[in-house]
Amino acid sequence: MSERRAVLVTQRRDCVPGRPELRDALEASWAECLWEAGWMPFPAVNVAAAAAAQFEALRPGLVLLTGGNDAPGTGQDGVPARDETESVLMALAARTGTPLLGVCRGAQMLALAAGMRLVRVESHVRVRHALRGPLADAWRGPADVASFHHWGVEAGSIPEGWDIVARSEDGVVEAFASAERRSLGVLWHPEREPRHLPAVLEYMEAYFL
Amino acid sequence: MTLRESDTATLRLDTPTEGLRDCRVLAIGPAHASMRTWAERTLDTLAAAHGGAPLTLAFKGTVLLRPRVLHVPLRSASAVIATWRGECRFILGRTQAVRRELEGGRDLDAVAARLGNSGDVVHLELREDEATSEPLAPVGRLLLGDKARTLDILSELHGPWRISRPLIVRGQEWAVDRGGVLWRVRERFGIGRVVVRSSCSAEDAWAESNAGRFLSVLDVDAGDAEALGRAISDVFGSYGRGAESEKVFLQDYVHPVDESGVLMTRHPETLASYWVVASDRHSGRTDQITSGALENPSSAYVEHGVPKGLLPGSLRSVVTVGRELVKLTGVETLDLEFALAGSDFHLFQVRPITRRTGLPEGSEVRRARLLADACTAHQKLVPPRGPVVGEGPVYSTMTDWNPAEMIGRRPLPLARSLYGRLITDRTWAEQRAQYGYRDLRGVPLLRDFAGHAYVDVRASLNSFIPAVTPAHVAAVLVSSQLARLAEDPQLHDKVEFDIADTCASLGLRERLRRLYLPDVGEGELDALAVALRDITLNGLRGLPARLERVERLRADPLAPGFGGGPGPVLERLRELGTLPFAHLARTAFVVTALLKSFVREGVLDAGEQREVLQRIRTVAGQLQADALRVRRGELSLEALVAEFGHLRPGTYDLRTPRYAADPERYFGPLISGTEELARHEAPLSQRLQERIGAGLRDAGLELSSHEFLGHLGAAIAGREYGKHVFTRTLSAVLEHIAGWGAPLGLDRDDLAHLSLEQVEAAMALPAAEARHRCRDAIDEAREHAADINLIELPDVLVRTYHLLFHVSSDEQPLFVTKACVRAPVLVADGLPDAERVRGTIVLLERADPGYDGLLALGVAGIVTAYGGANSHMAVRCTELQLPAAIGVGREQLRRLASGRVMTLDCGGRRLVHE
Repeated sequence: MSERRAVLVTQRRDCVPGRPELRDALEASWAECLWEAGWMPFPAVNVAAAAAAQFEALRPGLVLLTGGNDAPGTGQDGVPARDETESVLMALAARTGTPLLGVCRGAQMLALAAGMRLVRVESHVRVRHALRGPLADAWRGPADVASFHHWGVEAGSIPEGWDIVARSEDGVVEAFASAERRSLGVLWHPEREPRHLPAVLEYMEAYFL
Repeated sequence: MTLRESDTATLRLDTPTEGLRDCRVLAIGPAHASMRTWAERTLDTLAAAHGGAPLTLAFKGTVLLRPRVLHVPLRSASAVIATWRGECRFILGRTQAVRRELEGGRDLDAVAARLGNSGDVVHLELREDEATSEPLAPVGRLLLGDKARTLDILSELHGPWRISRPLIVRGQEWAVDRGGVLWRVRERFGIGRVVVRSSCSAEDAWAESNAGRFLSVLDVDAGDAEALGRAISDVFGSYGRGAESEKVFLQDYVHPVDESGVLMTRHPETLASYWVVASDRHSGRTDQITSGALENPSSAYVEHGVPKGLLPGSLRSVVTVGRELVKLTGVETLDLEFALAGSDFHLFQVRPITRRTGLPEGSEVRRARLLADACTAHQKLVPPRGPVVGEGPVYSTMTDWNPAEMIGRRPLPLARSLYGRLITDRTWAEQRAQYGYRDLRGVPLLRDFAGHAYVDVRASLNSFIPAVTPAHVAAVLVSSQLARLAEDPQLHDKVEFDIADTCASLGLRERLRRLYLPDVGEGELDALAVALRDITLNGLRGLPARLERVERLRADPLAPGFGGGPGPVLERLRELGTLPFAHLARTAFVVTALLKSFVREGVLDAGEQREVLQRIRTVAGQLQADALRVRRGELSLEALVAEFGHLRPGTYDLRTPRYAADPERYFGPLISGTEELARHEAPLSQRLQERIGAGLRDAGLELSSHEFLGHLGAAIAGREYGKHVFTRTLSAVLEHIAGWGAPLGLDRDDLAHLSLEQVEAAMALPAAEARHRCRDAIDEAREHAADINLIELPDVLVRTYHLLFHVSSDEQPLFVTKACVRAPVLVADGLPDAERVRGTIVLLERADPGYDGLLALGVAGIVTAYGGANSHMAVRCTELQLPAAIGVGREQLRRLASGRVMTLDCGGRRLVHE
């Protein structure tokens, strides 16, 4: 148990229908998948300073930016408190060299932070599609994935130091990584597949070595 | 009848009416364009005064038409016939019959003869100075030259200006009939306020300008005979001998005014096509610009091609009048004095600019092309391109690596390309990335617009954001910083102090919140503050490693030798010289900024800050110490030359010789004149150290005050040492290039016009071909440099149209010490002679380490146009406690250079020239 490393997982923020209440939440599969992969998950609260304190206290081995909500400039479901929390956690991770995984919206946040541009993509919502590229080749998991994103990363805007590690069949960037920054962004939802997230995490460790 | 007395008739000018359309102007034979304009305006004026009755004017050659002279006879006569030297020069017709006659006629004399017999025709004999024998002379030839007369004649015409008709007093008249003159003044002005102005023949001549040499007396009560008499006598008195044949004139005193100033219709130095307006919008007086007493004048440079619609209100009306007067006089180079009050444009003076050297052929076309290309280039650079983020690019001549100070605003190719190769192409970004800031490798720091070197401030600001800060946060920070700079461009040489926070400092968190909330969240700002703290501590830790690299360069300054051209030496110079120097300079900046924040937050006062800084001994101070040792016989002159002989005013400029070229001249005065430096050896007080320690804790830095002071000294001394070492290699590279060029017949000035790449390429060629290639390139570069000199660009470039026109206020200089000195002015370009320097205030456009020789020569003070708070000269003057104003701006330096004596009041933050 003590060998498990901590992972700080950011939460989505939802409005409770019919009640004047905001809740921070996490899809249940995250905790299950992370535990299964050998990590000790902690949800990060959406107060930037408090999340920074959580980071300092936990010294996590991984920061995970999850999906849900819209990234800044991509839709109506904006969540400024979460944006700030994630941007602070990204800065902290970069400063301490902590690996960082961004999923779906998390990948979009990672892209924005790295200075990439987001573009609308068609037909990546609620579909399954096959992947190509080093990430798909390297892992032992299933090679087609569940996708649910309206926005992708413009390939031309990817700065030096970042690699495209997976594309969908239609050529859309699905994953990008920087060894120097120890960061990986995937636009599909590995937590929604059996044994998929452990595979991504394994790939990540291998990539960063 | 012949009429001449009507010169003095008062012309009532009504608003122009519809009938004017029917007026006709006919030129018989060739005529200058200005003559036609003048004639049309004369008819406008006359027709308006005659209730819009249509008139026809036929004229021959250039002749001065004066509405006030023509007005009275025209009331009764059907035509006015004017002759000059027995020849008819113009006929002005009022009645239908005469007008028909004029329109059919080809020969003015014949028409005059036919009309002359009728009784109601008035004959006018023109004065000698009212026509010329050259048919194509511009009207200005007849109009300009005598200030009072020019204004008198212009006041007769309708125009977009107002001129108070001058009342002229001749010297002789004043000598013999004071009472008569005073009575005349009283008649004209009643008890109004008047101004008594000079109109001396020596002042307005075409050949020489004595502008401002003579007195004007403002705001005299016309009802007070005694005060008036004294004012008139004083103005005559200022003429010196021969005042009796001169004159003064009186006009209504315009007060208060919104703006007053001078418009030059061409650039006064180059005659390039610019409207140059120097104006005063603060004092409400009309004499501030010309007297030089003004503290904050603004200067506008407007390219002639700029559409009026782009110009702000008052500038638009000034340019409109300028354009009109150029058309009306046919003289391209005019100097106008004016004031704006409400919607009125008051014209006080019109005279030709005296400089007669023309523009090189074709240069105006080439200049326009350079400007058009610069506009296109600028437009392309507006959107940010990765990895640069932030909207609203700003370009500056003095931000960051300060090209204005280091290589000049219009650098020649060799200096420009050397600076790029060694610093601004790659080194700058490598240093920032290694230090922990955003990685901008691949982005050059300098951009050239029409041959002017600018720092890309957006790139520079990007390079001061910690690498760990997310790009979207960086974009918000940079955009906000750029917007602040665009609003207050004077901060462009203090960007790292006043615009961006680039390191840990006291009160940083609060400051960041004040500046960026709510655009950036609190958490993000705290993360930024932490990242800046990391960078600061990292930088301090890195000091020894940087110094170690510099030592390697010092040990073998010219490895691996010039066998393969200068390239390998320069590359090693970059790696072991300018790159570590860039690190040292950054660290020196960081510790200085931290110390300054202690003053800002009240932990230290300015005196204590000085006390701390004065204890730092640098290699520059070593020059003086060593010179003293030579005098005492403790050190040989050779040893001194070996250590400091590489210095040259203008570090990147091959044209200026280095000290070693003439040791007697440069080191001699230094050795004989140098004095024991004041020592500050006593340790800082315990209490001061405790306060510094507390300040460091508050800034979140785990450093003792002892450690911090150690870093401060090491960083500042390290920067100076790094500069000393790398410039030595650089100096040798320049000498190598000079040595290569000499046998090819290329002198230093020639070589300065070649780029480094051209030199390297030529070095690989056989001598004959190298010479041939270089000659061509040099000729081209010289022509290019000459064209660039005709272009006026601002020090801060925000919008594309600033390439075509800009208004600049004076820079806020950095004043060193609190002293006030008044001394003769010495303008120095290169190192001046030692004998002339002592006791003067030296004016320099820019000052790099090569000017250190000045500091030991007993100068009273130093003023530079360029160089910010962190510039070499600022640092050195602080070290020596020498009064200085660093970075006064080029306009202010020009003004100061025009005086013989100036006052440098550092405590009062004032610069006054006499």
